[in-house]
Amino acid sequence: MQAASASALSALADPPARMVDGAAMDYLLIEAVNALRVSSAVASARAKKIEHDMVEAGLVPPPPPPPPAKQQNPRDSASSTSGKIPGPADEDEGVRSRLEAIGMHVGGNFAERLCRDRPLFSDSLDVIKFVCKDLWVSCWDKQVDNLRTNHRGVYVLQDNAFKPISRISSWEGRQEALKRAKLYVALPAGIIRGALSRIGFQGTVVPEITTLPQCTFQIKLPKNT
Amino acid sequence: MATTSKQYKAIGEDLWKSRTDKINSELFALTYGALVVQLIQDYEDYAEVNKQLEKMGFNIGTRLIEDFLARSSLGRCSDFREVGEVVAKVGFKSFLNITPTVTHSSAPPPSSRSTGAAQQSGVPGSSFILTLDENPLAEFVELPDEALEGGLWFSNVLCGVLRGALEMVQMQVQVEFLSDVLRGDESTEIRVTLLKYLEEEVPVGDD
Repeated sequence: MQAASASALSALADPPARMVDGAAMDYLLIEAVNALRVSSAVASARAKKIEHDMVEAGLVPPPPPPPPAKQQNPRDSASSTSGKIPGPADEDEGVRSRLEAIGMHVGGNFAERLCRDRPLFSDSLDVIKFVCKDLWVSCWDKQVDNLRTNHRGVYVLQDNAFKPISRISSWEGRQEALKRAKLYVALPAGIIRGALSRIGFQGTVVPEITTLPQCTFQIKLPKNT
Repeated sequence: MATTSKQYKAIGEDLWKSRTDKINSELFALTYGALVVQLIQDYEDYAEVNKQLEKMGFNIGTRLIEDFLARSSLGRCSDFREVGEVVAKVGFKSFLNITPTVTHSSAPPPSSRSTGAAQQSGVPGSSFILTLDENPLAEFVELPDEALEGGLWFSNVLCGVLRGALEMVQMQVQVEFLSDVLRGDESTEIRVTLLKYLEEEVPVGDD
């Protein structure tokens, strides 16, 4: 009986990764942000309507009266928790949280796939190194450029040419491009956070961009790890 | 010079191989899946989600076609049949690395209507059906009963992409899913029907 060649068998057991064109993913993400902006507006409008209906029916007390119409006062705009005026900041917040949620789903599941043949992680630094090398390479084709830590649960990962934002430009100028990049980077932040969470480390990930295309992620892991 | 089916396949392969920027299809599938879930949560209406996916696809398609034409430098298709071949063998291959099979069908018996730009076998009404034996968007996906009853077409974005891309090359088409393995059908089929050819219009204000 002829044994199948070793390479054929290993290809069956561990099939080479299927690939899709990178451009397709880029276009999907661009349009996803637009679609999410619309859908989050729809969702929050519906929530407001329900709240309004409940107030009308007397089921909940009415919200405190909105702040005065002249919103020019910078003090007010920073803390308008009761203001029902949907500003652009609210919209963006909806999109950002949705992007992060999508990222978490992707990161968690993808990390599971990546960790399949790995031995257990020894400590949190090991996990962070996994993120910096394996996760970064699988998602964005390179490793993190710089890793800093204060050895007390805070890690700062720096990528000097972060792929998702490397091609962002805006005809309205640098500042506008920076603003958009800050929104788009919510998805990768979610991916990192989701991966960490699936591995067992519930932390926070805060992305920061000062100049395109450089991006840093500040990861805070809980103290008892 | 008619390009044969085999030649298109080769062109598709070449385009795919020459792409330097490839990503893992699982990432793609996971991202798309999470996006659909989010849209379902936001709209709470499967018909609306279908519509939004199609709209999203339309916008993607209008950009995708530019990319495609730039890379492939294929000329204008001589008839709708050729459009089907190019879409299946070159288009899908170069972006999603899959080659759906294409089944052509010509127009139903001609009605008295005729458009200004009727071409040989590009008579409005002709259509082709793409049968996808693998769908990179639907990896890891299982639809819950609600979605099945609600009539969700999970990969509806593909319909929008086709419609958007073809509209940019002056064809108005209707694209719809006929069946989907996610819904329990035997195969995943998309039908593209030519509605009419669009006249080249100079945008208002241009000289």
